[in-house]
Amino acid sequence: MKLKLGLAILFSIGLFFEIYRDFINPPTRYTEESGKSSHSPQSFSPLSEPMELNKPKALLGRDLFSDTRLSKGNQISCKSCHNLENGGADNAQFSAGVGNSRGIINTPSVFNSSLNFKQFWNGRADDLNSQIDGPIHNPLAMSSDWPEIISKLKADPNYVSQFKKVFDQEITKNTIIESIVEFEKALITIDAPFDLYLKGDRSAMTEAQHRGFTKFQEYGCIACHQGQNLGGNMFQNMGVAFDYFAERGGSYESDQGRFAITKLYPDLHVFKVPSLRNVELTAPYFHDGTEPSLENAVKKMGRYQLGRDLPKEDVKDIANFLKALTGKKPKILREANNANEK
Amino acid sequence: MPMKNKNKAFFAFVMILGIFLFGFIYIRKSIREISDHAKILHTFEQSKISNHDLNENVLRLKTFLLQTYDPLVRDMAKLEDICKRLKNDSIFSILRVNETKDLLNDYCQALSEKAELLEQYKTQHSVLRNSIKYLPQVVKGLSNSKYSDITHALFSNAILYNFDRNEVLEENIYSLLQKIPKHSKNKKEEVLLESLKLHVKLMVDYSLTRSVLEEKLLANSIVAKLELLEGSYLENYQRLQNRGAVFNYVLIFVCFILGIWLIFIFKRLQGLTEDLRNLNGSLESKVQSRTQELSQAMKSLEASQTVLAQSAKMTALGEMAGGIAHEINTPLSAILMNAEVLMDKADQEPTPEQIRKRADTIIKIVARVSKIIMGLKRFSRNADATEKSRVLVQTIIDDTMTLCSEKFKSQSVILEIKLESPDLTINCVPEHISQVLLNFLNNSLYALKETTDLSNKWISINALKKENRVEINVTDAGTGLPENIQAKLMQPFFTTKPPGSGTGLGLSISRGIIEQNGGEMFYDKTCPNTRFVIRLPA
Repeated sequence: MKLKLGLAILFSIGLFFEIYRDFINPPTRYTEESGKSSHSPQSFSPLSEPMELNKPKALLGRDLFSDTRLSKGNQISCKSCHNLENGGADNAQFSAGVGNSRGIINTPSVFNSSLNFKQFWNGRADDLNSQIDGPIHNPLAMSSDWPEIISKLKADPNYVSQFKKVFDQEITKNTIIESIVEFEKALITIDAPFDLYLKGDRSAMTEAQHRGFTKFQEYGCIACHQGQNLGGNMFQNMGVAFDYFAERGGSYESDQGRFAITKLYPDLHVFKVPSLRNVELTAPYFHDGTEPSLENAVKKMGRYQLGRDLPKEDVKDIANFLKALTGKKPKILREANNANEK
Repeated sequence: MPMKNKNKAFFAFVMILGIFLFGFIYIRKSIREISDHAKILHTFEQSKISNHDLNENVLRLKTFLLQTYDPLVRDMAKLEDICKRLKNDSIFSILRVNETKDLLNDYCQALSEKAELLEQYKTQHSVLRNSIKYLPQVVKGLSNSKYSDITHALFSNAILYNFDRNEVLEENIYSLLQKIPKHSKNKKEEVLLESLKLHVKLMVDYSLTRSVLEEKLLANSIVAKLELLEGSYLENYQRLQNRGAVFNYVLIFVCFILGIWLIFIFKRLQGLTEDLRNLNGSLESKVQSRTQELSQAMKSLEASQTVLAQSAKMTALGEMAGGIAHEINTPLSAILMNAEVLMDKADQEPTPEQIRKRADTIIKIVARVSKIIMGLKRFSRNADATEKSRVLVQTIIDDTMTLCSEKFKSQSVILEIKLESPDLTINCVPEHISQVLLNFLNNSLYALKETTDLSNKWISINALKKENRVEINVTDAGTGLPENIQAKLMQPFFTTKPPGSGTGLGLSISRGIIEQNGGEMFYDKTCPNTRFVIRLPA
């Protein structure tokens, strides 16, 4: 009898583990990719509101985005450099980090960043989730680390209850990242005049902007600044036609570009082509932030990338066209403002 | 036994439940495995499709049918995403095959190489496209100058070079480029010539690297790797399935054995229930027969007890035998003497007076002897408990004394008999009471045998009435019994006498006899001397 009972117990333990394994190791789900591979030959397509957004996560991410506790000594937040009121970036050449530190590269806009194929100027992060680690640890930015942030946030009962509500678990690195990324995914600036034009509203852009668009295409800007984000989907050499760095003079640590990652000589001075959306608001320009004027930036691009000196009127028209790329403030931020006004 | 059966039934129930549960989970798991398998196959298929799309888009780019890199980025992201998921998938660890894992790593490696190539290709392609688009404008601008011919030649060579790279074309292009002067009178012309040179150079450089990249990109190595991976996966999956089939057989076998075992248990339980029903049926007759057996045993026990009591009585009598013999012998010699005197007197012509005197004496003596023998006979009679009668205590004591008065005399023990009143009566079988008294007296006499002090050699019998009972106690000069003996006093076969001289049954049988007569018998602990008490209904 004892032997049989023992067998029964063994049997039930086995069963238990069999069931338990199912719970701890849930089967992988292969969700269908939404949307089929596009063969669209068009260079541009308008932006649309982000789909499948998790609103509670995004709202929690919005709070975290402007929370200074994410930095050492509670000095700065994500928002300090990625100014949400002004194109998702600040207007400094290099942003101020904690203490008196300065970054070494111009801050890219956080708007529409989820549409970029890689993150950072040199594309060292594949997605937004891995991008966050960069500025968090960078001693010239937030100079913090996850255990410190988590312990600071855990001290706030409001956050603890919010995370509990949204994720049904406590505050972890992953849940923080997930909510911030969800917020960033919501930062899409729809309905720029250019988008309206693409949707068929010719009157959305001024005549000068129409001329600018034609010249933008004719001069070959669209070779790199194409796609939904007008850029942000490829790498390009800074200075295809002429040596930009020799003519600029001086040197910055960030001039290496992708070379810093791959250590391959062809990748020297190769940068991610930035998106031109909201470019009007994100001066100064280029990775080194040396050009405060949009028109001069267009001119410089014409020379170093296209090997041409653009006439003044054309530069003006193109700059005008670029201003048509400034979209509406993201919905999630407008809601925040409304809430504040109330 | 019933407890064990209950456990067995419970165990059987648990086992049945277990088998069902196990079956359920097993089926669920199998379904999950099948769906996982389908998903993985689907993943492979998707990878192939995405790769195909990617290659198609590269070709579209080459022919300028595609203006944007977004589709390429999407396809690549899809491929990389699938790769990442495959790497994290548990099914590859379930397969436990290094070969498949290696192939998966190979595939992912090839994929990341392709991604790198694609990035370079995008970079090169955009520059080349610009130059190709720009050159006609330069040619048009220079169409009226003296360099028109060179420009046209350069343009056509460069375009041709873009599609078919060969050394002749390259040489042509470089010789044509050298013909272009560095300075020109016309400032506008000079600028155009400069940019012509620049863009032709760019075209030559970039079309070389681009075509190399193109070849590499379209070399399709990742499809081959993917197919290898898929083949290996299918092979391993098949092996897993085969192993699963064996496991299935084992499982079915185990279930079969368990089932048989369960049937066996149920059969046994059923048999036990039947047995129980049968037992219930035969219980009554069994009880009857048992009762009969029991009463028989009781009877034989009673009989043996009677025999035992009789033998004890005989023992007591035997102990008295010497005294009795003397008691009888003495009168017999007196009779003999008187008979001899009579014989002598017969010759001397005795007077009737003398004869009557002697005869009278003889008669008296004979009467006495006959009385003794009567007492003996009465004592030894195996009386039944039903023969109760009301008798005087005096009579019982007297009857007893006739049996042992000689022993008292020979041991010179002083006997004291005190009756509360001479007409005390008890309802009993007189022989029984005499037996008990004789037993007491025998014990006392035995105890006093060694005593030499004559004044301390006495036995007293007292009879008194207490409520509706008559108490008779026998006390001797002894100083009481030790505690340990008191406790065992009434136990059968307990004796302090040396082996052979006592049965150890005396007191226990006496007690039985007294209880049979509705009385009680005990040892009086409160008396300083040795005292036994019997109480009988008056």
